[in-house]
Amino acid sequence: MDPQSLNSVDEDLVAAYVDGDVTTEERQRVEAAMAASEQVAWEVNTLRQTVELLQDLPSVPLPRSFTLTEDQVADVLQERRALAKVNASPPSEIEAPPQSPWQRFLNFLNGGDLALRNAAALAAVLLLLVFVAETGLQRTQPGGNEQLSSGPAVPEGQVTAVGGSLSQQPDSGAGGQSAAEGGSEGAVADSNGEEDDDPQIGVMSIGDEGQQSASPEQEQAAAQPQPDSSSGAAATNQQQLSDNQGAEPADQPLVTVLRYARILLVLAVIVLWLLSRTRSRSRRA
Amino acid sequence: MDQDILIERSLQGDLEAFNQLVIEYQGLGYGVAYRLLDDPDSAADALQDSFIKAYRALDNYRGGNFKSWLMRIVVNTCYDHLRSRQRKRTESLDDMPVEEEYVAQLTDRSETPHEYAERQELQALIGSAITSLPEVLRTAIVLRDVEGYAYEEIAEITSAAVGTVKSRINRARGRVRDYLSKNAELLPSVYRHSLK
Repeated sequence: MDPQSLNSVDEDLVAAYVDGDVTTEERQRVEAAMAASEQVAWEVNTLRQTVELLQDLPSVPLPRSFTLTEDQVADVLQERRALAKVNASPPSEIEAPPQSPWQRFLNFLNGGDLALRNAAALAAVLLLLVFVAETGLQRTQPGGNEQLSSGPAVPEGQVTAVGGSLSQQPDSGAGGQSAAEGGSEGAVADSNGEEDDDPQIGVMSIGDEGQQSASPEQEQAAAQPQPDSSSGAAATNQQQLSDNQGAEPADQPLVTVLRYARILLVLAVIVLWLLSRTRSRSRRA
Repeated sequence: MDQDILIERSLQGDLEAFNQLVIEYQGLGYGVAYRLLDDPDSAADALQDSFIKAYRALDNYRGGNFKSWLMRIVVNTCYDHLRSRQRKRTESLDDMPVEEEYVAQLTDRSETPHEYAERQELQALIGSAITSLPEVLRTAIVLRDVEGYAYEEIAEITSAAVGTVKSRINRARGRVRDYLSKNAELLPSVYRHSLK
């Protein structure tokens, strides 16, 4: 008889009932169907006895052992053992004693792609050389400025700013004291004070220098009439300026080049080092 | 040893660890294979293939019920053997392992030779009834009624819903009953009477 003929009870419910795997409600439903229909009762009872027959089947004795030999899985075994060896190495690194911050910093610096890292190191060395050269040039620059401000030909000169140009007058007026009191080289440089310490003084233009070197006293002095020598002073200034212009350009282009080289090298060091780290990470990934 | 540790070690190339799993499950696997294929030699071949496949596929095991995972491999390998056998058509009733089982059962001295013969015939009949079923019904009834698996485990092994598993089990039982009723003279008297 086909179990599909069970109209009032689903076949999966019958299976569960025969196995005793039903709720109270489901059991009552099946038993009600069995009570109402002889066919359903026959179906359920014969299925139950069939299950008993099946469960009575003896267990089958094992004919032999089915353990695997290495030959049966040699290829996979080899792969797994090789992989296990590779995976076994990281734990030894993990077990290493904790590193000090300085060691970690050194490791951080040493990391990355070797070629790019070496290039970055080379750029850093060049940067250092450029810096040293630039510093050396700057130390020599103040001497040049002294010539600019108070050349030896005018020992007691008065510096006057006129229309942004530099003027020195031999007369020792009131305003002349500030420059003349120094008496020595660098009198105007002293009056400029901070500007002289600026390492960029080497690239400063002459007009700028003249403007900055004119102190208030000097301006006052310039405002006073200079009856005897305005035209002579102008001529002297012209000569002095031409002298200075002749001395300055010799170092200025070199200093400019060094300054740009320094900027480029700083950028090169940063970019190369970052590239080195990036490439190293991408390789690891 | 914990099963998960054995699996982990197996994955690292420790064959002895995997063989401990084989020893643990070979009895269950052979029972299923034997009932599905109804032939000891085919069952042994299928089970050996299953363990080799399982070791190779161990990377794909994603946790959960290892027994169900392994039995799914056994069942699918048995299906392969069944199809291969159907193609070859080498099966014969003379190949039934009567003598082997007889040797295994001789220790039961309370049973007369006649009773033993009847029991053997009944077991052979039930085996034939199971073998007559389509693959999915055969698997369902073997796993549930012969090997005692839970519905959920059978659902996992056969990749079917629990409701489907119950339906298959019920249909398989009905077909076995119908098959046996055609040879009622071999059935126990209680069963024979209830069939009327």
